[in-house]
Amino acid sequence: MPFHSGFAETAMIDWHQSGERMTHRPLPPIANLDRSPYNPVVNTMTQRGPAVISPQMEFKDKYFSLLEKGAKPGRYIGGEPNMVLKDFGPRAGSLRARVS
Amino acid sequence: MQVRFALAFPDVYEIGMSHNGIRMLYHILNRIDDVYAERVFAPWVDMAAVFQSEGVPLLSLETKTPIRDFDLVGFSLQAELTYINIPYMLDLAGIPLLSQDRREGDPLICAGGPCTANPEPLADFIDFFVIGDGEELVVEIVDLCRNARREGLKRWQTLEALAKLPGVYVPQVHQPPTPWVPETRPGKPFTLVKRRWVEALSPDFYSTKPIVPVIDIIQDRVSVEVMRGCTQGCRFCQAGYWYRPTRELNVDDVMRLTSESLKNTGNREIGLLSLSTADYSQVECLTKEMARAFSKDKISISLPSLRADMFSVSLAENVGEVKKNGFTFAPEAGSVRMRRFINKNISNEELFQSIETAYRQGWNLVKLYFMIGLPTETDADIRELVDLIREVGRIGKKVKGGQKNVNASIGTFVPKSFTPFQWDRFEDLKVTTERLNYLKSAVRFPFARLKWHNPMEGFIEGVLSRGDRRVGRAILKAYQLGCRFDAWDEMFNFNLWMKAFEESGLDPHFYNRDIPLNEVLPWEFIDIGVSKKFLLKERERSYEQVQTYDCKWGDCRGCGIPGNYEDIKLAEVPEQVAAESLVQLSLAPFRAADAAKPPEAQRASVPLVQGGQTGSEVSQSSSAEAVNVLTVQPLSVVERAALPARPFVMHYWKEGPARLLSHLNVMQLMERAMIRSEFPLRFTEGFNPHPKFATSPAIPLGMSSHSEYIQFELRGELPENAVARMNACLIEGLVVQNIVPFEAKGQWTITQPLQATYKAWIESEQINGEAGALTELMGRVNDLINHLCDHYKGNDFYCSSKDHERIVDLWVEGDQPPRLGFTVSVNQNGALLKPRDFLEQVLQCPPDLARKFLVVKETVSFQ
Repeated sequence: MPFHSGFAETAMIDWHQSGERMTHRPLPPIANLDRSPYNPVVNTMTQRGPAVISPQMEFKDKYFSLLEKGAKPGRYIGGEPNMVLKDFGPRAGSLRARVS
Repeated sequence: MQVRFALAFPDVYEIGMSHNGIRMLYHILNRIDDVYAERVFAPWVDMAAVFQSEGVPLLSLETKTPIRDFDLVGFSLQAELTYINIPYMLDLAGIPLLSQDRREGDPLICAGGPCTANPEPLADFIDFFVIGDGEELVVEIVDLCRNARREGLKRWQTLEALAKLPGVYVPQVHQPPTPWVPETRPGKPFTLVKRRWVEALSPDFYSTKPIVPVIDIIQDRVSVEVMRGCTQGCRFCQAGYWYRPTRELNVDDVMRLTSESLKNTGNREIGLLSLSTADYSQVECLTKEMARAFSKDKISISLPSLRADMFSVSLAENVGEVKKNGFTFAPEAGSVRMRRFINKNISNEELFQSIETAYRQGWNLVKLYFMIGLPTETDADIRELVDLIREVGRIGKKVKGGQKNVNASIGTFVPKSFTPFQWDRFEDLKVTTERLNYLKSAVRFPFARLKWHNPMEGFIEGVLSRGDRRVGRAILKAYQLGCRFDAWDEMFNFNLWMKAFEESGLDPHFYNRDIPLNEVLPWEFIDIGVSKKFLLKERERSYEQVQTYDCKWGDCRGCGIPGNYEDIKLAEVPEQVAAESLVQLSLAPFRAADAAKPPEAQRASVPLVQGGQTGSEVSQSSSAEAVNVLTVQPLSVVERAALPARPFVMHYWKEGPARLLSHLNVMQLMERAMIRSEFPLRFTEGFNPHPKFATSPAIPLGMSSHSEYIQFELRGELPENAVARMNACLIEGLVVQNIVPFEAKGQWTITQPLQATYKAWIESEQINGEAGALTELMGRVNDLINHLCDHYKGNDFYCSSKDHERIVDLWVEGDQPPRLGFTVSVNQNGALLKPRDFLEQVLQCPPDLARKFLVVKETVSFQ
């Protein structure tokens, strides 16, 4: 990596040396939280829970079957020339997979 | 340990795919083995509704992975009016909208781009911001996240580690800046984050194999960033201060990147990107070299808007070698006084001379960008703007005749952070609307077309660009009320936004007012390098009508970023060019002879000759043949042009995802694949050259076909393995079957089919609830087959449809589910019966059922 400056490692070392990880410190509250600015009923997709289709391959098939229902479906197909494809496997190594 | 990074753009594919930053980050990240960057754009509202109703979350374009399964999601913030699409996309992805609600399994949401010049309005949505250039920082972020995972760190621990990276702002970790609440001011500003910038532009940042879009995008060209940063010092321009210092790519690097990208994309247009490309120190040399290397292949060069005082005859000649669409100048204000106020020091004479040069060099259209609502603007300034447009039109009429030759675009000034005008108000909506209405009524010249932006959009943009953290409430409320895609005129809803402010308990006018100079600003915790003292000084100079000259040539103006070439990285002067003194803006003459003079005197020292051409340009023109600076291998197009044109026909299939592309999009993909496959295509002559193609008639969107044809002409031989080469350059579903010579030169036969055979069927899972209707339909099919058999035996033929004469054959294959086969012929006008019409009109299939049929065109016969 020709432009890697190593800041990431430095930051990690600083953080390790600080010893902060030993005690969980809650994140500071966001500003103006006391004014209750947010309507809690906003995460519509989240509150519906996981989507009804679980395996990823079905998502893909379902996704393509829906594209004809919208305008300019070419926007959504992907697979363009020079697109990068890497075989990471379904959800391989993702945070979500690790947690679940 | 793998890291998956979703590069998110809060607008549609056509806009996002045109953005150079996404392309660069995509390339930089995917170069790392264990990192996979994928793209995601905001789906238009119709498609989003379909996804939501069907329970399909927002997916990446590459692997169709749900966005919520990524480790990092990075939004590119290019314009404030796209902010609304951040909660929209997060919601579609099923990711909690607010940082505080996200938990361990959720991705880290980050954002970068010029709008991070004031990140506070989005602070509650975004986990961390990348402040400044991302090329190096994004790699550090990915490394850190990988290490954090290896260490098993919690989400909050990772965010705290990120907060220690220079250039990263984590709203939940960094102490939030003093809220912009009146009773807390004046306060003491403090720095939390320093903007990061790369010391020099490296060719390694740029991909020479960018993704080739499958549909029309707004900037569909090979884009090369020749320069980053601009020190002209226009006082309204946030980018001019944000992207300092000036860094340029060398000419040979630009040429190499361009030629490789052209070869790898098949594109026929080059865009030289920067904030002010005419200020690129080697612009004359570069455009001349590009014209020499690429114009023979009908590859055109386009430039973004230009400063009129940097425009020259030779630049126009180089850029307009192949195509002359339109030239764009940005005087920004109509009166000289206003231009002096904003430090855009262009006289009317310079502007008119440049425009006349453009017209005389063959351009038919000049585009002019203006702003209204600038500080101190009066009605007299607006009247001068009308006079200026009238005069430009008069020049155009004199040179080009009576056609429409001027497009004037009117925007509304929006004060932005980190500019000398950051304390000034957004002009009252009533005033801007009145001035815009005056312009609409006054600019009614037959040669001019006026375009404008809605000042109400500017009002909201003003709130978002100078807002504090509380504005996030209004963004969320506006999203809940239904705002989407605010940057699109047809989607923008001012009333909903005002309702959102009201329900959030915010007064939008508070953010668009004149701000006292001693107030602590919401964005002051960022140190961008340019000092507040300098901005205040510039503000004073604007009111005093004092010009601040460009520091690019070594005369430091004390903005805070070191001058005197400590940070400015100009392109190297190519050796032969320097020796022949061919570069107008090369460093040497300015430093050696004119260093002591102000830039105005420097410009004056280059004598002007006829048509605005400078002395150095004359020598450049006269020595054009001698210039051979770079070793770009010229293609043998000139030799090819002498060869006779030979016609060929290509047979291809269109199915799978490709069936969702329009006919024109497929043609564009085919053209680019042919160029990439080194087909010696014959081009049309004239104003806008394009390959000479003929195609079989377009099929409806969504229909597959095994019988599509393109007829084209080559000047030379078909390359070896042409079919394999083509298929390597196409997308899934577009498959070239064969390419054969076509002997009947001059006859474009494939455009006139005689009859076509289709097959149609319904997938088993789609039949639900329609089994009865399908059975009835098959009964009618059997009846019609019997009638046709009678007809073939010479008996009378009964059919309820007037199209019966166009039915050549009809049959059924299989039964689970049955497949219909039918052959239809053209009518007396040469039009084929459409398969959907056959189903609905001939077979009387209900439209809902007909829509479920998958149709493939199997064969077609021609005259």
